Amino acid sequence: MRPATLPNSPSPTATPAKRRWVGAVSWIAVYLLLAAFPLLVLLLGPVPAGGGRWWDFSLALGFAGLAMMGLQFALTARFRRATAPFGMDIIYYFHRWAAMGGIALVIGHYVILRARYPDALGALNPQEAPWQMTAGRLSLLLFVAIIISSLWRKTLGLEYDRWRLWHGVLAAVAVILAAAHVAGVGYYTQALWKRIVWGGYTGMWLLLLGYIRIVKPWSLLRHPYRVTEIRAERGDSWTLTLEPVEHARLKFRPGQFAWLTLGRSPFHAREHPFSFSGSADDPAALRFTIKELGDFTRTIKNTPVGTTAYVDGPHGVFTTDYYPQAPGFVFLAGGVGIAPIMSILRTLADRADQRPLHLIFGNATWDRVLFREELETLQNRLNLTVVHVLQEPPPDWPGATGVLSPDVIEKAIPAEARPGIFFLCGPKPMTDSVLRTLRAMGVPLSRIHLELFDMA
Amino acid sequence: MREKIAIAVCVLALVVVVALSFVFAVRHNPETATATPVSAGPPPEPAPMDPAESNQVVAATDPSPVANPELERGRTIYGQQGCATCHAIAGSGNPRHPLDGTGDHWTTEELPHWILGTGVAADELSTAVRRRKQRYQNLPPEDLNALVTYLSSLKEPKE
Repeated sequence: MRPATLPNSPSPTATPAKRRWVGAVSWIAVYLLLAAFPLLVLLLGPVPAGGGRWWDFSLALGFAGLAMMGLQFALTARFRRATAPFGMDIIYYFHRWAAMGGIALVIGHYVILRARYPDALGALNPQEAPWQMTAGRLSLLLFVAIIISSLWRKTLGLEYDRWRLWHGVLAAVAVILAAAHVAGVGYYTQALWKRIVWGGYTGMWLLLLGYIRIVKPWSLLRHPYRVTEIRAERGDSWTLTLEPVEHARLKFRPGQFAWLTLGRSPFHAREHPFSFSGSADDPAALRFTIKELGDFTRTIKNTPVGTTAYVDGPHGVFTTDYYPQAPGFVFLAGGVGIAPIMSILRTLADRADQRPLHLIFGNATWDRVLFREELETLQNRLNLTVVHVLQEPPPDWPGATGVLSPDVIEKAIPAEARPGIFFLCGPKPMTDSVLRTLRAMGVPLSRIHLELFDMA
Repeated sequence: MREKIAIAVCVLALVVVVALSFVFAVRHNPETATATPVSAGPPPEPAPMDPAESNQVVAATDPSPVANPELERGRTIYGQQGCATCHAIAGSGNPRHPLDGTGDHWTTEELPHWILGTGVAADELSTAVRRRKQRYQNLPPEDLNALVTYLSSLKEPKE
């Protein structure tokens, strides 16, 4: 962990929204450049004789497809600077869609050859076919298998940890096979400088994989944590407290998250993303509040005190820290989506921040409202108004009922709070509908932060 | 809604790379959509050729009823050895290195060298291509002869 490394502090001149836009546009340009890079290199220098427009178009699609697939490694490398302007949810959505775009290019490459130049593909049987053609076919099959196993992981009954391990391994093998296919065919890569450039470009993806799977786990290994407490919370949730073992605890901004490895070596790549729920200003411990939702989260309660843990973070831009000038904040949470918002509220209380805060908190029943009691006491320390919304309210419930509908939200957010910054965290159906409501109320996207739970 | 941002960037990336692929295809093939003469860059294979339209049937692809059995055998070996993964005859196969007219340009003494990447052909072919052709040195002599017979029957397409 690098305790001192935090995203840039807001510059005093540029507004946070403007900085995010500039950052986002620059990183999209970098992506486009890297995706187009092999084609730009092919276009440079003496042009070899054409093989027919369809032929060359098909081969260019193959190069572009491989570039997009290689770039997938960069998307999941958790580079803070690159992910910051977007938020992790957009990066993962993009990872998913770019995989489908990449495979469409690769399939296009194959289908054009199959349809127009069937003889050029040679024998299907690997014993007769040239090795580079077999490598290309295998790579295509692996990419398809990776995408199917990812889009329908739950339907196929694949356990998350095993899927994640194989996802990385198969992706690396598929990209290596595709690069071997390009080198083996070798039409456009005959000039020495093109071979070097192309080798460096594909080698870059493999170096990136080495960084994710070797350098990063190794650096985590040197900064272990120990579980010091597991506390039962309302709503089938548990708060895990971690203390650093002989090093300074990592610094984070309230609302950010980290990837947690519990009771295993970081080399196992069995880590899960959770929001910090404790105060960013508590120097001793890290806290995560985790709801029992899946295979891993159901085992949290059985973790023995003293278990070794590793924390890769902080990540994400879901934080009030970027808005020192904001007039106030509005939080909309569903269930365990309160975790990062608790971190924000606890930190703001520690800092004696007196800006007006509004929290609209949706839950199924009153019994399951996480941190119910602490939210009461926080209202004494902060300028905080809490509106609870219950789907199944008790008989004498005086407050709002149902889901976070446009009616409920309109009523809960007074006019003077609307110029503030909005933070939205919960399950996808809830965040989708609340986002629509806020947009309809005229809140611009640049003032809305969103964190999703259960993205799979 | 945020997923739409991701989709938009993804579509933008696809548009850019498909457009560049199109530019690449047009730049390599300025005039025609079919194979153009081999002039520079890749190793000069047996013969620089004019575009071979599939309706311009070359002699060898027009099996006569009294076909030469040696020539037929050569044709079979051409198929078995996967020659079409690198070469095209009458527009069929890899258009990068067309073989139409081979019989007009090379003698039956020269052709084995082009098949094996030796002798007169060794200097003209790249190392990678010579390496790929090495495996044909294991062909039995009668198969090699049949292949030579077949290749020497490939004439320039008639106008």
